[in-house]
Amino acid sequence: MPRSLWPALAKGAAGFLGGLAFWFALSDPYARLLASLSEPLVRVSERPSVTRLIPRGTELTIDRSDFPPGATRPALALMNLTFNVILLTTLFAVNRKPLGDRNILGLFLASLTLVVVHVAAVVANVQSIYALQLGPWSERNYGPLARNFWGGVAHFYTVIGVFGASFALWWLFRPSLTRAATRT
Amino acid sequence: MARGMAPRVIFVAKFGLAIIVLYVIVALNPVNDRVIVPFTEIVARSAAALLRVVDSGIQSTGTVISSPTFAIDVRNGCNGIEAMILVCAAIFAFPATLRSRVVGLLAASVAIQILNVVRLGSLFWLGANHRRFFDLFHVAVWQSLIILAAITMFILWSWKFAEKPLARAR
Repeated sequence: MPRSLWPALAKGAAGFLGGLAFWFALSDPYARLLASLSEPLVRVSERPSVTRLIPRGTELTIDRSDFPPGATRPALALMNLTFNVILLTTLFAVNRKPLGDRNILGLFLASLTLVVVHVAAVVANVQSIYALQLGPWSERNYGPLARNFWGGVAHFYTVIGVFGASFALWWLFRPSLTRAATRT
Repeated sequence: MARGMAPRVIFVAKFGLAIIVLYVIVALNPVNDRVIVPFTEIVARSAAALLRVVDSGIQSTGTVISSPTFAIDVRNGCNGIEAMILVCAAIFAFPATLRSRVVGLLAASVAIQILNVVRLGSLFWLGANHRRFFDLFHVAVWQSLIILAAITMFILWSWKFAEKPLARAR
């Protein structure tokens, strides 16, 4: 336990603001990265492969070549899926020696893993939109089990998984074992 | 990095399992309808009571907090349950006595809900008076702060309450 919580709070506030600025500034290019990584995964389960994920600002427009030309394309708000970056940077900022090599390496590894989590979240949310939000088309192409599964996975991530992922990655990759961690 | 990873992996595995089980329980329709929604209504009433300190025209109906110019509907994700699930899963995954777990869970839940009422009050005020900041604070700032508070409570609990009984037991 630190002698005072103030240094930890100050480091946490700096990490929070840094993470917020980083997340906000890079949201657009990160949307492009997520689109390019997620689209092939969505298409893996399609015959023929028809899905296109088109980044527009911080949203992904979901297009399919078999949608009617004039139909509204559904969109996925990425910021709801990716803001746990802020949580991750805050948690790493509170570690001892936040700018030390091991902490930076841990943050880097955790961030890389978080990108994988975000790609999985995008795929689950696209499948959830396909399964639940496209009316008769959804019912024709997704059975009750698949609809519940994809809806449940997407909702789980949005409500609690988004936080749990950051906490779990921080716990795994933080450099120095606190006394608490050695007890696990 | 690899040294000492096994206990961390075990903790994360237990944590992940617990969080999924708790989510499934909370997501069940009977639990949602009979426990979560009434609980959310209490949260909404509490936030409305706090807001009436500065504006007597604010009221709550069910899970909706409203004034003549603005209204919010408190839904799952905004009722603090997600933070309570996270703390509960972390406390479950961490080795501790049953008494320590119960004390930690109760204390953290009360603290989270007090903070959540402040969150809802401030979000309502932002939405009514500074609408352009509402989404940023709703999605990113307050959600992160609530979860950070929950994680801080877990860390403090693991230091203060869980560790000592275990150390004595050894």
